[in-house]
Amino acid sequence: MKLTLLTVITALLISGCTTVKPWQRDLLAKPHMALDTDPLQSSFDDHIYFSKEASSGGRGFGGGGCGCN
Amino acid sequence: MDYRLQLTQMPDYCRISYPAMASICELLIDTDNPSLALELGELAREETQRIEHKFSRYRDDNIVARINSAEGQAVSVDDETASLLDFAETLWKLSEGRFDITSGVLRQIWHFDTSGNVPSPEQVSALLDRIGWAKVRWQAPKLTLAAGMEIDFGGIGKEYAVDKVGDLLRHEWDGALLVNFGGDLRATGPRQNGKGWQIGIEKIHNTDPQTFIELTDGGLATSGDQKRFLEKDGQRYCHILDPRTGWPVSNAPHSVTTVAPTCLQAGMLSSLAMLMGSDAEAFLDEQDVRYWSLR
Amino acid sequence: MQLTDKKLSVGLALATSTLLGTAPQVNAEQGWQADTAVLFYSEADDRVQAVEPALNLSKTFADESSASVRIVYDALTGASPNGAAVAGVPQTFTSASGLARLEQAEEDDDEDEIEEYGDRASYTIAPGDVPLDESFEDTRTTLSGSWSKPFGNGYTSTLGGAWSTEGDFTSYSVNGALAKDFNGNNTTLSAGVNLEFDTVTPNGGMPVPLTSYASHNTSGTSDTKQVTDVIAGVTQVISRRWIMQFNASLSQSSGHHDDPYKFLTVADNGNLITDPDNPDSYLYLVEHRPEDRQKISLYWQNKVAIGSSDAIDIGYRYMTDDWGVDSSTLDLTYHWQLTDGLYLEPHYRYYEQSAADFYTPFLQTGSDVQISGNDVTVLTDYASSDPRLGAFSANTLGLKLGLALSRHQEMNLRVEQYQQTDQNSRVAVPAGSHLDGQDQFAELSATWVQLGYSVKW
Repeated sequence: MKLTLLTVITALLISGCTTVKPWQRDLLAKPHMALDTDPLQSSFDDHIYFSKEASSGGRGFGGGGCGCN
Repeated sequence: MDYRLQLTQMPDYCRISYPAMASICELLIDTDNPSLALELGELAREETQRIEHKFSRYRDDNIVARINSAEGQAVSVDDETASLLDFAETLWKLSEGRFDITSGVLRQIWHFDTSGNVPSPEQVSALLDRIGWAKVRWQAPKLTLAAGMEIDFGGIGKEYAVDKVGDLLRHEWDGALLVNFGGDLRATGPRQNGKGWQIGIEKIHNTDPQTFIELTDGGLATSGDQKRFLEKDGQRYCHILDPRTGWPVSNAPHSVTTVAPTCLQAGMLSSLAMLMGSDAEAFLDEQDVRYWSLR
Repeated sequence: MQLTDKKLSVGLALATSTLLGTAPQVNAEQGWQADTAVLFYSEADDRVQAVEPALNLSKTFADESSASVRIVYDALTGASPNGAAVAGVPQTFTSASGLARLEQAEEDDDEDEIEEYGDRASYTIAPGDVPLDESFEDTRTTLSGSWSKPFGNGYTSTLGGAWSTEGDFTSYSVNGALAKDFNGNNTTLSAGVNLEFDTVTPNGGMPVPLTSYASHNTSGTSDTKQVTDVIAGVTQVISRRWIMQFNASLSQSSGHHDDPYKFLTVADNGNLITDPDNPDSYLYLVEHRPEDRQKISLYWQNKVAIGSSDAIDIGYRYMTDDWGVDSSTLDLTYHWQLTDGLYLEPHYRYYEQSAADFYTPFLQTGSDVQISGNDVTVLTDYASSDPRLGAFSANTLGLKLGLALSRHQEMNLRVEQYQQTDQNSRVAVPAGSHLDGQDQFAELSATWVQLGYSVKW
């Protein structure tokens, strides 16, 4: 159910998007607008949560496993 | 205009200006250090003059003069000239002949002095024999023009200088700057305050609203007819001539301003748009280019 | 007359870049970037402490391809729950790894080691305390690399690998991904695969699951597991201010999942019972987890620009697996640009997970384990009391400060505070028994501080 809802929302949003021209990417090009602004930070946090909780990942691939879960 | 270089220190940037390429060349530098601005300004002026001396058609001691007086003989050119010739050839192909650096001889019969002296059709067809890149033999490093033909880098020289100066200064210093050679611009940014450079688009009538754009990085160029045209029998002939016919383009906008990653690209796109006459806007829409046109 | 073909501006861009001798895209930055950071991690109640320095080096080339390499070193010390339940009586444990170290020291006739580890091989936990194994000291080194290259018409390929080693665990992985841009770079579709191979070689040998902990039965010295992850995602620019990413991933893990150092208390009506084979110890059984685990994750992230220099990041992840764990994560960060070179990023994360099917704080005679005389029969296939598999919610609150030292250098300081809250249903025990009134879940509380520095050239 959650999956269907998410897919529908995403599809609606995509179809309703305006095409953003290259010169309109000024804000999106700023470093703090990157989807992962600090890869080392993400890597530290992912490792901490992976070793203390049962879930992992989602964003992409981590670099290497560890013997902590 | 006897001065060589002028430095003005503004509240949050420095401005350098010097006369070159038949206009005032201006540099806006995002710094409050006047010695740095001076250093960069001198580098820019040196490079601008180098390019002007090398490629101007008004001199008799440069490669262009040698090519234009070769009378059918092959001329060996250096790497930089070769690159420009390659560029001109590519543009000629892409524009299907609308952009042609051999079309300079048309100025011998077309004088855009707002008078009524329009050449006759016979004069124009006679000159067409001496125009057309198809008649040129270009095999790097040798260029052979038929006798009577001439090349003229006027259509790309200024934009080329703007980009070369911009790249040179960016190589020397990594701050933001704006190069402005009489309306042909190149910006490298963003500035320290995170913003771009504010540029006002020239108005046709004083009552028109002032359009400002913020340029952070990239080039801007304008092609227009406002100041140079002929008028005869109620017909205005703008100074943009179509090399394929020898006649001015009809129904071109009064001016077209485009924004592109480099000044060369902006300049070529605005010139080509003018050459498309009534299809100028459609052409630019298709090229997915940001532009303003005034009709 | 029809020059209305996009090909012209593309040809023009190429011709211009050839003439100017620069890369076609003006915003392509060539160069190096080095990011370095050190993390200080500390858990409450004298549990795990760690220091983790890391270095990441990356380079972007003229053709917009890039390569990066990362090295991370992890030094952990402190104590970790061993899985036994908190009881109202003292409990003594002999740690396998501590024993192994002691044996080695005695063999080497190393008096200093013997003195140090003599205490740690065997440890006693006071009544009411969470049983923590303190002979827990480990260093881990991870090396990973990745290479990315754009090609063709809007495609980007990425290839990477990683290697990680610690005292008792080694992991190798390779990953590959393919992405394609559409719609003027407003949409990107991507897909990737990650293959991981792990080997665990526990100190003191591989314990036989669901047998007496005190007996230290081992079978072999190591075991392995393989993990395959596939991920597919779409990144979409919604507007000039808003970019969104949605990823779906599937993970299949096969092999050895047990934590070789964890075991469970066996309780009889809430009381600890003596191990028939080891009369000096209570009965604890080594934990056991299924050999297969399949996880599905759905991840949704939004980044919205606020004003001219701020942004908000909202992420949500849903995970479900075939061990019975379902989890939800909500992650919020606000980027607050105070001045040109200074920013603050407050951060909040909410997490909750349900317990694994085989999670239990302790085993019970009658239902999980059958004792008749000296025979211990385990009725359940799998069992673990590892708090990581229990039901809990957690809140993280953090703040990051970033300071630009120059146009190309930045340093940052970040603090995060993490607190878990037990959400397990309590297992009832008779009043007055050893386990009566004791906590059945050790809520973790941790703080970490990151100090980072980046430089580009």
